[in-house]
Amino acid sequence: MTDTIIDTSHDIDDPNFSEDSIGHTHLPTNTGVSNEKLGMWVFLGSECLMFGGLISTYMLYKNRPGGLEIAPGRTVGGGATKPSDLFDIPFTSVTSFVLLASSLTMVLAVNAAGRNHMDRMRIWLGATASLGALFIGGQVYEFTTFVREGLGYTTNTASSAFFTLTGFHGVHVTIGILMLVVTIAMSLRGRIPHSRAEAVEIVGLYWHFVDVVWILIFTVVYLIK
Amino acid sequence: MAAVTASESHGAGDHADHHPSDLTYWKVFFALVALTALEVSTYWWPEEWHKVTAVLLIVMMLIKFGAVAMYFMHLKSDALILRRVFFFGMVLAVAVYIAALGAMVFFHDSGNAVQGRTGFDYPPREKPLPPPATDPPPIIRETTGGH
Repeated sequence: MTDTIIDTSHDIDDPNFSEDSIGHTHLPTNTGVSNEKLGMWVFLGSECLMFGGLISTYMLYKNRPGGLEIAPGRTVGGGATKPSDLFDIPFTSVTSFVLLASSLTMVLAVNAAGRNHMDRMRIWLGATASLGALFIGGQVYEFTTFVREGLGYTTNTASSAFFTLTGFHGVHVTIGILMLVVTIAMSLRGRIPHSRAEAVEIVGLYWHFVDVVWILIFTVVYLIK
Repeated sequence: MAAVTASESHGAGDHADHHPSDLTYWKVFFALVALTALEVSTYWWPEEWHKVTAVLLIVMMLIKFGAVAMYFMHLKSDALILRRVFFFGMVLAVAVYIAALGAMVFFHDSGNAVQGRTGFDYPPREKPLPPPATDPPPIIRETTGGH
């Protein structure tokens, strides 16, 4: 059943009524927000819980690089090196700036899509994907450096918590890059007209969330001693 | 049919009017860059300032978080329900995990007091536990074999 509240403040014959000037089609939902967009926000709210768990786990174990006694006299891990012993703050700062810049290019792409500047939108989306790939490259370099220095996934509980947290974030960035590439491809094939510009905004929400999570990780994991 | 539902009642250009311009996004970005630079600089601040530094870092982190969520994710101009959905998840996550960290004695000297331990055996016991109780030895009755 559709909502029965009558609003006579707008003329349905207005050609701009069902689609505003940045391409948002107003669907007859109870919330006034499209189901896709609301679904993305609910998903992001649940992602807060998942990343909250991973960040808490790292905070708990970062100063406890002990092993786990899985049976009497049998311990897993126990290496003394902590992830924080190997952090390269200048390098990680550069990758953080890169991810921050990708958020700017993403929001510029969303604005361009809303104004029906599809060529410009594709350029900004391409820039966002490139910056994301640069960030992932930095993370791969960091991980390989750590492993070379003797800090592997099972070295101790602190390293397990660190690799799980930052690895999960990296996977999210990678998925975001794939979403961006698919969006560009769909746009090139004409499957994202101005009336569906909200699709770009929804991809943008995911991308900004990934950036927001990195803002938390960078401070909590890397900077707070 | 001229009647429309309340949910359709956004006027033309509502979002366009509310969404910031490109210039605003650039301004927010440069503010974020400046804050990040300040954050990074704290890494080289004297060790004695670590408590002040930690508080300052958390404040700057929250400002950055808010700026990205409000401006880049359009929470400032979008429907109120989106703000509620997102911040409900976030507040719930923070509350749950602060409670969990508290239960795992994280706030006891930031966990430093238990360096080298995994947390499962904290707080350390003052006396070792007695050995597990064992069943008493079975009574063996000797039989003489005579009737």
